[in-house]
Amino acid sequence: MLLDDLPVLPVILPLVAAPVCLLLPNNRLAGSFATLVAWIALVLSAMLLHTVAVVGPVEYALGGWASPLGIIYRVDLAGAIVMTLVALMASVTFPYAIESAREEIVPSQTSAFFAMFLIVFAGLMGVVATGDAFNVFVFLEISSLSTYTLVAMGAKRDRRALTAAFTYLVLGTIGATFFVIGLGLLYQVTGTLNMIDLHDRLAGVDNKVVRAGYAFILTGLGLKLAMFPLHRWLPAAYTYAPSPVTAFLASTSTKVAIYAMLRFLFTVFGFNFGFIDVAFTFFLILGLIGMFYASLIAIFREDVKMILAYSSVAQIGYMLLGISFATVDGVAAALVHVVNHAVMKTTLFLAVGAVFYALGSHRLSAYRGLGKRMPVTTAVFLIGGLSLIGVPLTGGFISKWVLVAAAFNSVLAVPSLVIVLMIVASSLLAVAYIGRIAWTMLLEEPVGRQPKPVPMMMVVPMVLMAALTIYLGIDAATLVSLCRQAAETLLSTGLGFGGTS
Amino acid sequence: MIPFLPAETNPAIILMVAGVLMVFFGPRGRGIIGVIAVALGFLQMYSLGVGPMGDAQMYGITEVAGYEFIPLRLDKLSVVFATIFHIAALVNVIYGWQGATKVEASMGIVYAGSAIGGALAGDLLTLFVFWEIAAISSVFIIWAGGGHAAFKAGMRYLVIQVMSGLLLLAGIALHLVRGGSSEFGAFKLVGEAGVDPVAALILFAFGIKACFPILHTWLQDSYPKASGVGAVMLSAFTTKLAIYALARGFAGTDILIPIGATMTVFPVFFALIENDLRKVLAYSLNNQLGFMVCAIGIGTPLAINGAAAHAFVHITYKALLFMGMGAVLLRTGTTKATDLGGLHKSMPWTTAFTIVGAMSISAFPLFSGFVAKSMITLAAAEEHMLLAWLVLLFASAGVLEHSGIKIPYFAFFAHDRFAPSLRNGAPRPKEAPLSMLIAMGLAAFLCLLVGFYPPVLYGLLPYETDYHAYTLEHVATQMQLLMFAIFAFMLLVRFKLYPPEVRSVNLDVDWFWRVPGRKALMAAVQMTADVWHAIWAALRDITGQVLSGIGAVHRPGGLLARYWTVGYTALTTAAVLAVALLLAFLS
Amino acid sequence: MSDEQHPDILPEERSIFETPGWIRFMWFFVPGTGLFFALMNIVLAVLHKTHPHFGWLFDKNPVFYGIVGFVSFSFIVLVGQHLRKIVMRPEDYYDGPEATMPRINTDDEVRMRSISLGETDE
Repeated sequence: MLLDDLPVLPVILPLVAAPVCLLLPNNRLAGSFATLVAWIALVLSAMLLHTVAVVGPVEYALGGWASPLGIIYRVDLAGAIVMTLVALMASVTFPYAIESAREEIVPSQTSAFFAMFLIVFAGLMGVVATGDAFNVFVFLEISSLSTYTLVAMGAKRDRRALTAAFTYLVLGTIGATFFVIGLGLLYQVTGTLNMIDLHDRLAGVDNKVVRAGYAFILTGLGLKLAMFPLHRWLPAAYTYAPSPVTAFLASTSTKVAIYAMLRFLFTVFGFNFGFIDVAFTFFLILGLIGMFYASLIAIFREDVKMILAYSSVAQIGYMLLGISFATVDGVAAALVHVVNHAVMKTTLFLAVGAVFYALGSHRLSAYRGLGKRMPVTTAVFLIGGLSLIGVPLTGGFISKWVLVAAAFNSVLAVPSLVIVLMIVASSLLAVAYIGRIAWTMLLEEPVGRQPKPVPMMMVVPMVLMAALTIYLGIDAATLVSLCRQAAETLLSTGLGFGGTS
Repeated sequence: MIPFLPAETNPAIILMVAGVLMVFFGPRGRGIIGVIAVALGFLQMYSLGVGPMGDAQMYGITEVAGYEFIPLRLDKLSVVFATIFHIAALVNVIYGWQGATKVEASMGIVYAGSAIGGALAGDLLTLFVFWEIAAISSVFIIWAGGGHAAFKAGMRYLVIQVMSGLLLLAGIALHLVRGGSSEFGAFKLVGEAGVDPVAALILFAFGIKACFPILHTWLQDSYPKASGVGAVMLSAFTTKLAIYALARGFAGTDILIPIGATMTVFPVFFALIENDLRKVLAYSLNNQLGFMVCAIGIGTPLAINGAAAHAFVHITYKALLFMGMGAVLLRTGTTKATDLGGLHKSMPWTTAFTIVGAMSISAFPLFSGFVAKSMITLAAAEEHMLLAWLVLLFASAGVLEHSGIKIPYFAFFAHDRFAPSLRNGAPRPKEAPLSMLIAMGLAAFLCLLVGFYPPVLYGLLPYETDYHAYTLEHVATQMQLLMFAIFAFMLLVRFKLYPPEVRSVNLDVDWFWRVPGRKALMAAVQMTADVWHAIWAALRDITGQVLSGIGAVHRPGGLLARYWTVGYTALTTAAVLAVALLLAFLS
Repeated sequence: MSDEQHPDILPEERSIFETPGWIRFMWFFVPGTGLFFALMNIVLAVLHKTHPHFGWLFDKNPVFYGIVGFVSFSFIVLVGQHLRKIVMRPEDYYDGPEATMPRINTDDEVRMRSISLGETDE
C-alpha cells in the first residue's frame, strides 16, 4: 500500500504538514516538526529511488483517474535522483534553520517561516514527481510564491531583502506567465496536458503554434533556472535571503527548473522536432557566456554571499553546456553536476550562514583571519570551495571530468577542444574568486570582535555536507552510472521508443 | 614491511595524512610528526620492492569503467626520484623545526607527499591528481611569505600551475579518447603523421612546471617571495616532479635538446644582474633544470642516468643554498646583495655550508655536482652533439658565476656591512639557529658523501652503469675550466669590470602579462562595461520615450532606479523570447 | 677592496680573509692551480690518455677547457651587464610601494623572524 503510493507521498506529506507547522507555537517545535517531515520525505524518496532503479519508472494516478483524463504522477530515474536530492537538502537545511532562524527571522514569523519552507519543499518535489504539464506550472508557482515570502523574511537583518524579493516576484511571475502561455498554446493544438500524451499527439505536428509554444516554454523555464541573461533576479535574492533559505534555494530551485527543462525538451518535444536544436544552440552559447560573465563578476564582489550567488549562475552554465551536447553523456554530465553542485553550494552557503551567525556579516572583510577563529567552518568552506574549482577528490572534479569527457565525445558546431579549453579557463576564474576568500580566511590577521560560538545544530549539517562533497569525489562510480541510466531513459523517451511504459 | 600499515599503503598518503595531522600540534609536535612520517614513508616504499626499468613493481591496481588505476609503480626511475623527495622532505622538516609556521609545516609535508605520489604514480590520472595537489598545497607556502606582493605572486603562480594541470587533464582525456593506454609511459611527439597534438599538449603541461623558456617566470616570480623556510620547500619538488614526468614520457625527444640548452643559457645573464640573492638562486634553478631537460632530450641510458643523478644531487645542493640564504634572511631580514656582506665573521657555519653547496653546484671534483653533471656533458659528447656540448660548457661557467661565486661572495664576503663600527656599535647578526644548522649540515654531508663516494648514487640510477667520474681526464679538464673562470672573476673585480650590485627589479617575459597584458585586460573590461552601459542607456531612452509617450506610467522619482532594474530584466526576457521565437520559426 | 661607496671598517674588525696576505695568496693559488691542471691535461694528451670526441679546435686541444672557462666567464660578465640597460627598473616597478614593504608575519606563534634581526636575542 505504502509502496504503491510512493511517487505521491513525498509531495503530499510536506504540503499537508505545512498548515500544521503554522499552528505550532514556537521556533524549536515548528522547526523540529519540519525537520521530521523532511527526514520522512528523504526516506520515502530514497525508497522511491531504489524502486525506480530496480523496476524502472513508476506511475500513480491521482484519485484513481487513469491518464490521459486524470493527473498522473510519473517518476523515472532522473526524477527520483532529483527528488532524493531535494529531500536530502531539506533534511540538512531544516535542522540548521532552527538555530539560524533565531538570529535571522523575526520571532513572531518563525512558524510561518517553517511552514513556507515546507511549502517550497512540497512544490519542488511536485514539479519533479508530476507527469502532467499543467501540474508542473502549479507546483512551480507554489514553490515560487513561497520562495518570495522566504526571501522577504531576510528583511530583519537587511531591508534590501524586500527589493530583492520584489524583483524576484516580478521576474518569476513573468517567467511563469511565459511558461503557462506556452502550455496554453500546446493545449490548443493537442487538447491534452499529460506529458506522454502530449508527446504522442505532437508527433508529426509542426506548425507556428507549436513553435511559439516551444519558444515561450524555453524562455519561461530559462528564467526560472537563471540562464544568462535571465539570471538577474538570482544574485540579490540569494544574497539577502536568510542563510538557510539561500542554502536550500541554491541547491534545489534552479536544479528543479533544469529538471523541468529536461522533461519538456526530451519527454514532451523530443528529437523528431527540428526546432529542438534552438534550445541546444541557446544553451551552448548562453551557457558559455554565463560561465565567464558571472565568474568575472564574482571575482570583483566584496560580499561572499554575492560571490557565491554569481558563481551559481556560472555553474548553471556548465549544466546547460552539458545539456547542449544533446547526447546521453552530456545530459548525464549535467545531472551529475546538478547533484554535485547542489551538495557543494549547500556546503558553502551553510558555512557562510555559520559565519553570519557568529559575526553578523557576510562581507569579505568579516572573513579576515577566520581560519584561526572558526577552524571548522573554514575547513568546511574550503572543501566546498575546492569542489567548486574542481580539485580532484572532490565532487566538483567528477563533474568537470564527466563534462569534459562528454564534450570530447560529441559532435558540435564549436570544436570540442575549444569548449574544453573554455571549461578550463572558467575554472581558473573560480580559482581566483575562491582563492581570494581563502587568502582572507587563512592568511590575514583577524580583526574586530570575537565570533559567537556556532551551535552544534548548525555545525553538524555543514560538516555532513562537506563530508558528502568529498565522498562524491571518491566514490563517483555510483552517481555517474545512476545519472547515465537516468539520461538514457530521458533521451529514449524523446526518441520515441520505450517511453510509454 | 611495516606491520601496522595495510600492505599496499602509498607513502604519499602517509605524508599527506601527517601533513593534515600537523595542523593540530605545536611546532615541536609538528616536527616530530614530520620526521616520523618521512621515515615511515621511506620504509614503506622500500618494503614494497623496486623493479628494474621496464619491469616495475605495481600495487593497488583497480579498474574503474575500463580505466586502469595504478597508484603505485616502483621501478628504478620512479624510486630514485621518490627517494630524493623523501630526503628533501626530511631536510625541510628539520630546517623548519622552529621557523616554519603552521601553514608552511603542514602544507610542506602535503606538498612533499604529492611529489612522491606523482613520482610513484603508474597511471595518468593518478599523476594528474598529485600534480594538482602539488600546485594547490605549494601556493599556501608562497602566501605564507606574507605581504600583498606574496599574495599576488601566489595568485599568478596558482593560475599558471592550475593551467598546467588542466592542460595535462585535457591531454590525458584526448589520449584516452583515442584509445591510448591509461599507464603513464612514453609518448611519441613526432610520429609518421607529423607532430602529435595530444603529446604536444602533455609536453606543454609538463613544460610549464619544468620551466621551459617563456613558461618559466612563475618560478622567479614566486619563490623569492616565500619565507626563508618556504623557499627551501618550494625548491625541491614541483620542478623535479616535472623532470621525472619528462624523463618518463619524453626521453629521447629531440626538441628537448635545444629547449634545455636555451634554459641553461638565458638565466645566466638574468642571474648576473639580479640583486635579490634568492632570485639569483631561482634563476640558477632554471639553469640547472636546463641541464636535465637537455639530458632527457639526448635520451641515451647514460643521459637518462645523468638527468636522474643530476636531479638527485641538485635537490640537495639547491636546498642547501636556499637554506643558507634562508638563514641569512632570518638573521638580517634581507637577501639583497646590496645590503649584505661580511657575514662570514659571525655566521661561520652557515658560510661553510653555503660554500659546500656552491662548490657542489659548480661541479668541483669531490662535490656532488661533479659526479652528475659530467655524465650529461659526456652523454652530449658521445652523441657528437657539438653545439649542445659547447652550450653546456658555457653554462657550466655561468653556474660558477652566479651560484658558485656570486651567492657566497656577496652574502658572506665582499663589503662588510655589519661591522659594529659602521652600525653605531650594533652587534653583528648571530649564527643561524641549531635546527637550521643541523638541516644544512645534513644536506652538506650528502653533497660530500656523493662527491667522495659516487657509487652511493650510481646504485640508485635507472640503468646499469660502469661510469667512473674520477678519471684523471675528467678531473683535469673540469678543474682547468673552473680555475681559469675564477681567475677571470678575480681579474674582472680587480679592474672594476664586474658590475656593481644595484637595487632594482629586472624585467622578464612575465612583463608582457603583468604590464601590457594587465592593461589590455583592464581596458577590455572597461570597454565591455562602457558598451554595455551605452546599450542599456539607449534602450532605456527608447523605452522611456515610448512609455512617456503613452503617458500611462507615473512613478515616484526616488524609486525610479529600482523599478528600472526590474524593467530591464523584463525587457531582457522579452528580447530572449523574441530571439527564441525567431530561431524556432526559422529553423 | 673598498671604494668611496663602501667606507672602510676598523682593522681589528677584519677577518683573515680580508688581509692583504690572503688576497696575495689567492692571486698565486688560483692561476697556479689552473696552470697545474692545464699541464696535467697536456701530459695526459701526450700520453694519449684522453678521449676527445671532437676536433683540434675543441677538446682534442688540451687547454681548450681553460680557455672555455676564462672566455665564457668574461663574456657573461662583460656582455651580460649590458642587459641592465634594457630590463632594469626601480624596485617598486611592479607593485608600487608594496614591493619594498617588510614581510608581515602570518602566524603569531612564530616570533623568530621578527625578533632575530641581528640586534636582539631570541
